[in-house]
Amino acid sequence: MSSIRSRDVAAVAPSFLVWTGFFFAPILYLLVVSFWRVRQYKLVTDASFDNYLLAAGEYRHAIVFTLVLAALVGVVTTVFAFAMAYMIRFHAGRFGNVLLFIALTTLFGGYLVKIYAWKGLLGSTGIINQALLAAGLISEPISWFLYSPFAVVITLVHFLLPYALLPINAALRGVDDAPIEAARDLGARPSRILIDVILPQCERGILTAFALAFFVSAGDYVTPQLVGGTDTFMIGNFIQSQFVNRMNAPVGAALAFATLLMTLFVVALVSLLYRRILKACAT
Amino acid sequence: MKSDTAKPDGVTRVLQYVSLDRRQLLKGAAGLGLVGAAGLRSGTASAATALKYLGWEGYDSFLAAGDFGKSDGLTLQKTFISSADEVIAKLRLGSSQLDICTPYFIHDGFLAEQGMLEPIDLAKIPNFSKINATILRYCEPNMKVKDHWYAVPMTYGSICMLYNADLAATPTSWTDMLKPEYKGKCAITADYVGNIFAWARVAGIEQPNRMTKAELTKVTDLLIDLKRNHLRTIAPSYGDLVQLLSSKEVVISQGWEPVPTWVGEAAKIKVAYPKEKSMGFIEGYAIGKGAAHVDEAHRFINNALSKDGQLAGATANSMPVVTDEAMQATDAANKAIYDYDHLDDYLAQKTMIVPMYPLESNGDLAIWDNYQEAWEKVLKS
Repeated sequence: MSSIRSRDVAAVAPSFLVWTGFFFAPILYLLVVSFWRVRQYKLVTDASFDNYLLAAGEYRHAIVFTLVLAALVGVVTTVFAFAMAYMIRFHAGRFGNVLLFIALTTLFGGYLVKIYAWKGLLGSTGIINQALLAAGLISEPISWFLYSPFAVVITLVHFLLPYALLPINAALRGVDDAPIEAARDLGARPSRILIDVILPQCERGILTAFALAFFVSAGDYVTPQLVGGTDTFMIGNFIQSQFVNRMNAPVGAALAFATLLMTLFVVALVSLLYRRILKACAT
Repeated sequence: MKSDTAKPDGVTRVLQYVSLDRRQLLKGAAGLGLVGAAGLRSGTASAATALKYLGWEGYDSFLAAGDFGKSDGLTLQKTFISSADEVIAKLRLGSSQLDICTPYFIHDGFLAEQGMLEPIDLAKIPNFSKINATILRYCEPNMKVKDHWYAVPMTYGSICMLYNADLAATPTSWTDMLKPEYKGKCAITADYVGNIFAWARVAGIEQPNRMTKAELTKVTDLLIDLKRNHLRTIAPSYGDLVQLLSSKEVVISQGWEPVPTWVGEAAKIKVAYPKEKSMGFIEGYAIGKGAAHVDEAHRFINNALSKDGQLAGATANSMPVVTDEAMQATDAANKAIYDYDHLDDYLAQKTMIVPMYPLESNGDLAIWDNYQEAWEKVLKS
């Protein structure tokens, strides 16, 4: 009996160590630190809720703005990823895997490369503005293409699309053809098949894709810094500033936990809404 | 295709998102492999000594000029910073881990007072005597504490104004950025110290490093107006500023003297010194308290002040030099940017070298954290 227990302990020990070392311990440490304060760049270990009050007061607008922008990125990315995965699953036939491979190869491009590529495309002298000027559609370059929330959204959507594609693609591959054909035989229109048959079965994949895009966007600080302009500073910029510039890990940690709580709330809300909407639309 | 943008060998003070030293890693791995292959038989072979450098990319170019240290197996293991405050953080975590670092010049004094820097042994830096007397006079208040130097100057500069001479008139004041014709065509960098300095001077504040909280609020409001109503963007790095100026997205900006060289022929960018003055700085090397290679660090710093060391930094990054012999030996392009014959005028009239901001609450004066808070307020607005 004891040898079985020893074996069990040995079997879970590596996993336990990884969970503890990479997740539980750092998160717990940051959580504790978030209640401390800094004085002259030194940690002072007297606990209070001051940092959280600061997050709820001074940084409330930045958190709300971040959640709205990240939710927009999450929705747009998920819709685009679903459209791509739908095509791969139902219309591309044997070229489906090729399309998936092409989409995934963009992951090798790197994060910063994509940001700078969009800077080149969206700038006043960028290809898009120049093409519109050449076509006579505009008389002067559109300045809000770059250094704006629009630029942040389009850059993040492009970056996150391959990641969002994977869970939706996996979910669509799990949808059986039989109920789709049965619905079609019974005269259901494509939109009805989508709402009643496909979307309910893809719930987990779609919500995973949204959560992935949403969480990454909510925590990003590089994209808004490089293409966001003067009005697109997200909470990640302030968390980075607290840790790097102000060396105030307690406030940085409190901002991170406050944002984490709010993002979890938004994902739970979106999950609930997804189910409610599908239910309301169901026949 | 020939690039029309002159690129420095090591772009300086540019935000780094990833700092990998693969070359050093490979060298180390190769060295270990050779030692292993030799079975540690060689009693005469000495292992390479890697000194830990933490500072702005480009500031390292003075140190190892002329393959300095190579014959003695001395190398620099470089980590580049994205914010001057990172040096403080790393020194706090373990000053002995940094053989050579480049603290922000106004931080030198308080870092020394808090026991995070080694006093510099000038006997081990004979080239120190070559430093220009004017440079020494202006950096001494920040770098010397109680008869000991804690940093050694190697370059200087200012957070000045830049403009596209083809598209904008020569600016004479920071307020020229508020002109309607430059709306959406001007930029500043994320160097908040320089920004607060500039707009404090616009607000008529004589000593931007000794502002009251009320004065700081006034300056913050000026910066908020600039950001919300006039700026195209806040460039996160000088690399981004170069791109903005090259593409002509921006025609007038806050910046730094080497930037026009980096922009090259892509745009006719010139430097201007506004009547309110620019924030000047004299940058230096320091040694972490208790560092493992203090003697070797002194040798590298001495090399940085040699003629070859100074010229290497000037050539690689279009930065100014601080020794008299190097000032004479720099090329015409460098002399065209830096008027070494009128250093007093540069440091007293065009720019202003300020000491550290108050760290502790002292009456109504704003402290350092208030300045950082003010900048965050600008970003949040």
